Amino acid sequence: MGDEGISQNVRRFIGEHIRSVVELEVLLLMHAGSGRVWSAAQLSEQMRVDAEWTGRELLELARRGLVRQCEGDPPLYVYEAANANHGIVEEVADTYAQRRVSVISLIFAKPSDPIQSFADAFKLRKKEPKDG
Amino acid sequence: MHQFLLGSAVALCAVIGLIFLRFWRKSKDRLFLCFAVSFWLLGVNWLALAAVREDEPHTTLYVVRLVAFAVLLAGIWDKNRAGAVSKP
Amino acid sequence: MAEAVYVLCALTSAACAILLLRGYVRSRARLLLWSGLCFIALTANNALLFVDKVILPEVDLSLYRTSTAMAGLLLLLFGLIWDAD
Repeated sequence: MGDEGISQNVRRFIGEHIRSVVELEVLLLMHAGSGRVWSAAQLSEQMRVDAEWTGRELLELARRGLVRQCEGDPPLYVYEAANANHGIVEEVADTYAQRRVSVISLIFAKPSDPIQSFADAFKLRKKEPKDG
Repeated sequence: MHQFLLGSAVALCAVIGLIFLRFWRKSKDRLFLCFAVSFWLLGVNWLALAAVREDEPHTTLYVVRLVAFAVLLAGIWDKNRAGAVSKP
Repeated sequence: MAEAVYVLCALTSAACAILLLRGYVRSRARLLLWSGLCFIALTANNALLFVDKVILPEVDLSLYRTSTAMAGLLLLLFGLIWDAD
């Protein structure tokens, strides 16, 4: 499959947290602009992704502790280097820069969480954005 | 034999409900709570069937079954509400 | 009224079965296969209930009904223990 060069930590992180390539790119974009505060609208414009999806995605990333939600209306989000996952996110960013195809194929591989798949089975609408 | 099957079904529903409850705790997804409640209600339904006599008006009894499946439908509806995030 | 309940329960089970089996085709997660099969069995259970009470009231299908339910529950429990990681 070509993903031998990817560390266990990165694999586990992607298996647990990353459901799509766009999701990963949102996280890495916020990580790269460390400290910059984003609103869903700004992010969706930057990435040319559906704004409603971006809003939900940011909420989800915040819920998982990968980004932090700040005060504001509309809500603002920031990636903080102080967060618990920073080390692994750094590693993911490096790995993605060097082995993009392998990381992408990891993302598309069978999800490791059958429980999540069970819950996802009951989603009647397709949730993924129309990313260009 | 029938009583045995009913009893087994009740026990299985209890355990299945418990496992769904554990999934709910782990994933924080309300859908699993609905599944847990639904299967426990099905267990209650079969428990009641085991307890009553043949000539009970079964209609009243099957309200429990109806509620069990209504809870399932409610869980699915809840999961698909517009604006709901993937793990409420 | 009772007939409507039985039909609704059968339809709900069938919907769950379809969603789970569709999910299994997409994700290949075996848990969804067992759960889907369970709900097929529960659909059969509810359908038999309808047949038992409404279409063939003079015949007692309770043993068959409960057997289908048991089969479904066993499949689901197996899946929840074996394939839920």
